[in-house]
Amino acid sequence: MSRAITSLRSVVAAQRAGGGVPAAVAGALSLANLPVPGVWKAVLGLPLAFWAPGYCVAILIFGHASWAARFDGLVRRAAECVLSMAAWPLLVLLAYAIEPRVTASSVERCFLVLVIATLIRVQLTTRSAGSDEAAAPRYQPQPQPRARFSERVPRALIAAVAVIVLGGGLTAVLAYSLPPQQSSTASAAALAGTAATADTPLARETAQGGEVSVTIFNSAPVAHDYRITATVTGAGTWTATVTTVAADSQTTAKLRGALPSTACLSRVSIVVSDGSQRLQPLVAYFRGNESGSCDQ
Amino acid sequence: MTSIVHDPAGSETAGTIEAAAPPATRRPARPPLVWYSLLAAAFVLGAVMFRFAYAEAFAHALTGGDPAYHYTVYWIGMALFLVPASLRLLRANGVSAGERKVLLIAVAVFTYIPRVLRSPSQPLFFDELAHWSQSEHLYQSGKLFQPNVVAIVADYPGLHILTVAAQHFSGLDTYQVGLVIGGLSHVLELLAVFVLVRRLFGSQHTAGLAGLCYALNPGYLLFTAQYAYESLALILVAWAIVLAQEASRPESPRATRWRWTAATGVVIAATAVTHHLSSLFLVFVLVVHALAHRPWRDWERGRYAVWIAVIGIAANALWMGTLGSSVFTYLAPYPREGFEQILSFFSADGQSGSGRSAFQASSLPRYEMVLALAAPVVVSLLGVIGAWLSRRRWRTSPMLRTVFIVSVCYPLSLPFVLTTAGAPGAHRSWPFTYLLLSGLLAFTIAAACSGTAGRRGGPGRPRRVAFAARSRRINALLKAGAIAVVMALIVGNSGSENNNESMFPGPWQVGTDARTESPELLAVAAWAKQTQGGGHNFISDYTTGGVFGAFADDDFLVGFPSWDLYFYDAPPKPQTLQELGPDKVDFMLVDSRLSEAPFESGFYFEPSEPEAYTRTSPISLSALEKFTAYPWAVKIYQSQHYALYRLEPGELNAGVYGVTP
Repeated sequence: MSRAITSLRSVVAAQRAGGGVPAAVAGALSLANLPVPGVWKAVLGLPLAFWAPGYCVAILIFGHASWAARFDGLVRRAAECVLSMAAWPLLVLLAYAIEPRVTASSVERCFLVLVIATLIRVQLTTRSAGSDEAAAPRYQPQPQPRARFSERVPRALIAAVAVIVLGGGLTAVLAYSLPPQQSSTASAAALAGTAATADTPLARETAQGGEVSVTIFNSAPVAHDYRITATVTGAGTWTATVTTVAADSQTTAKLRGALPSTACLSRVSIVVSDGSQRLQPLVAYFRGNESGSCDQ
Repeated sequence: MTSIVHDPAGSETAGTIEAAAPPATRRPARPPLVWYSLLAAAFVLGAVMFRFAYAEAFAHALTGGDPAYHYTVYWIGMALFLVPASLRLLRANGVSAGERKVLLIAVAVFTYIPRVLRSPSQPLFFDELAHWSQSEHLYQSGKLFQPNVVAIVADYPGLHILTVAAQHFSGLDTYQVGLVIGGLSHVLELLAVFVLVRRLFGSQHTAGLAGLCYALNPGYLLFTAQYAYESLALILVAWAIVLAQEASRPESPRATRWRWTAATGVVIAATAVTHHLSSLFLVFVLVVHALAHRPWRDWERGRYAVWIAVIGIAANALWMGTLGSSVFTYLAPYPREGFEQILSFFSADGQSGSGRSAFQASSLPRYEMVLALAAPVVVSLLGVIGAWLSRRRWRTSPMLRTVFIVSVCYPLSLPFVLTTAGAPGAHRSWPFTYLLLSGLLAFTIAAACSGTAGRRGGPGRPRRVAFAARSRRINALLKAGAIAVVMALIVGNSGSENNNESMFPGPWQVGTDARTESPELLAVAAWAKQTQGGGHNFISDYTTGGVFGAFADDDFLVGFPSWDLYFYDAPPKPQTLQELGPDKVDFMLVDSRLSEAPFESGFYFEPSEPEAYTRTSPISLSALEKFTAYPWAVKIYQSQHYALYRLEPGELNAGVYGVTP
C-alpha cells in the first residue's frame, strides 16, 4: 500500500516536475490530428513542429529542473526552437534507416517516441528524487504559493510572441493587399488532344488527310478573334479557322486538311495570329501514307 | 553621463546560471509608453512604406517602373523603424535585457517583411525553387535524396525533412512553411548573437547592439531569408557556437558541461546533414575555439571545447563520407579557381583574372553603390577598433580569441569578390563571419556611445575611456553618428549583396533568376504539368530550367551538353543527338530572348560551356529557331517568348526536314 502511494506520489511529482508540458504536447498532437479547420491546425501544429521536440530534447539532456534554470525564459524558448529544428532531421533520418519513407505517420511516430522518452526521463528523475525523500525521516511537503502567471512567464516572452504574431499578421495583410504582377497580355498556343501527348509522327485521319487540334490561350482582359492557319510543307494551306476567345480564357479549335500521299513525313506549321500579333508556328509531323515511303 | 550596463551573470567568466544571478545594476526603469507607441507606429508605417514600394514595382513589372522611387520609399520605410529601434538599443541605461531582446525580435520581423513582399505566394530565387521542389517531392513521395537541379541539394535533406514534418503537423503548404522557417531564422539569428555577445562581454547593451549589427550583414535582408538550406544551417551554426560557449564555461559543474556538450552535439549533427558550407564553417570555428582554450595547458578547462570540435569533425566526416561525398567535387573548383584568379591580378597580363568589376551594368541607385564600397571599409575599421579595445580580455576569454580569428576572415574574403569563382563563396561567408564580427562592431559602438569600453578588472567596474568626460552634445553627436553608420551599413551592405533584379520585380532579364519567373513562364509550366504530367527530363537554359522544373514538376537534366543544341546555326552533332534519347530527354524549352543579350551570370547552361564568362555576343535567333526544321523536335507549345518542344527519339536520324540525311 505504501509503495502504491509512493508511486502515485512520484507520478504526481513527475507531472509537477514536467510542468505537465509533455502531456499537453501529447494532447495537442492528438488535437492536431483531428479534422480541425486549416487555421487552427496551423495554430496547433506550428508550435508542435517548431518548439515541442526541442523542449523534449532539452528535458532529455538536462532534466526539467535543470533546464528551467538555464538562460531566461525567452532565450530558453529560442533554444528549444533551435533544438526542434535540429532534432527533426536527425530523428527522421534515423526512422528512414528503418523504414525508407517519410510520411505523416512516420513523422508522428518520431515525435511520440521523443515525447514518451521525455516522460520516462521525467518519471525516472522524480522517482530518484522520491526515493531520496523516502529515505528521509518523514515526508513533509512544504506548501509553496503558486507563482502568478506574470512571474512564471516572463514579460519579455509575452512581448516577443506578440511582436512575432502581430508582425506576421501585418505582413500577411500587406502581402494580401499587393496587386498582381503586371504581365504580358500576349497570347499562347499549344497543340491539343492527341497531338499534344501522343508520340509523333501523328497518324492520319484518312489516307489523304489529317486533323490537328490547337488550344489558344488569351491572357488579355478583352476577348480576341484569332485566325489559325495550318500550312503543310509541299501540299499547301489548310482552310483557316477563325475563333473568338474570351478574356483570360482558352479555346480549342480543330483543323483538317489534305496531306501529301507520298511523303515519308508531312510537316504541318500552325500559325496563330490575332491581327496585331502573330505567334511563332507550332510544328507537328504526320506519318507517311504508303508503306515503304520512308525507306530511302 | 551614461555607462554600459554590465551584467556579470552574463559574462563568460561569471556565474553559472544567468537567470538565477542577482541583478548587477539598478532595476531598469519601466520603458516609457511613448517609446512603445513610437516604435509600434514606426513599425507599421515602415511596413506600409515597403508595401507601397513593392506595389508600385509589381504594377509596373513589364517596364520596371521608376527604380529611384522604389528605393527611396523602401529605404525611408526601413529608416522609419530602424532609427528609433537603434536609438533605443544605443541607450546604455534604462533599457532592460528583456526589452533589448524584444527590440531585436522586432528588428528581425521588420526586416523580414520586404523579403515576404518580394514574393509572397511562391518561391522566386533559383536556390529557393530548388529547395521548394525538393521538399514538394519529399512530401509527395516520401523519398529522400531525389535528384535536383542543384545536384548537391539532394545530399543535404535537413531543411526538407524539417519542412515536411512541419507540413504534416500544421497543414500549411511547402512555401508557407518555408516562410515560417525564414522568419524564425531571422529572429533566432539575432537572439543567438545577443546571447553570445552578452556572455562574451558581460554587457546587455553591447549584446543588443551586436544583434543590431548582425541585422546589417549583407545577406540578412534577402539571401539568408530565402527558403534555402543556408538559412536553416545559419541558425544551427549560430546556436552551436552559443551552446559550445556554455559548455566551455569553467564555472559550471562537470555534469552540466557534459550536458551542454551533448546539446551542442545535437545541433552540430543537424548542421552536418543540412548544409555543407555551413557545417564546414562550424567545424572551423569549433576547432579554433578548441585551440583557443589551449587544452595542452589546461585539459580540464579545454576538454569540452575539444570534444565538441571532435564531434563536429566526426559528424561531417561521417555524413560526407557516406551520403554527401559529392560535396568535394561540388566545392573544390571554387577555392582553387578563386585563388588562381586572385593571383592573376598580380600577373603580367593582369586582365586574365576575373571578368568581374564592381557594379558592372548595375541599376542600383548611385548612393547605394557608394555606400556598398564604403561599408566593408567601415566594418573592417570598427572591427579593428573593437579588437583593440577588447584586447585585455583576450587572455581570459577563449571565445573572444575565436571571435578575433574568425573576424579576420571578413577582410580576407573581400578580394575574392572581384573573382568569378571566389565571389559566391565570399558573399556566402559574410553571414557566418558576421555572427562573431558583430560582437566587435557592437563593442566599438557601445564604447563610443556610452563612454565606456566595458569591464576591465571584473564585474561592475566599468573602465572609462579617454573620451568619457564629454558633453551631452558630443554624446548626441556620437549617437547620431552611430545611427548614420547603422543606416549606411544596411544600405551599403544590401547594395553589395542584392542587385536591383533581386530587390524588386521588373521586366524579364536574361540570366537573372529573380526576373526569370514571370506569368508567361508559369503558364507554360502549368500547361506542361496539366497535359504532359510531371517527372519528365528536360533541357533549357539554367535559370529558366529552375523555374520550369519546379512548377512543371519536371527534372532539369544536369550535365547534358545543351549548348551543342542551342549555340549554333548548324545542325547539332550526331553525338549530341545520340545523347538525346531514347528516354533521356523528353522536352526542350527555348526562350527566344536568349538572343537579346549575353547571360548576366556568365553562362547559359553551366560554367563549363564554351565561352562561359567571356562571351560578348548572345546566341543568334536563328540558332534558337532552327529546331522547327528537325522532325525529332515537335513544337507543342508556343507563347510570345517560349517554345516547348517534345523530343522524338525515333526521329533522331531523320535529319533536316525535306533534306535527305
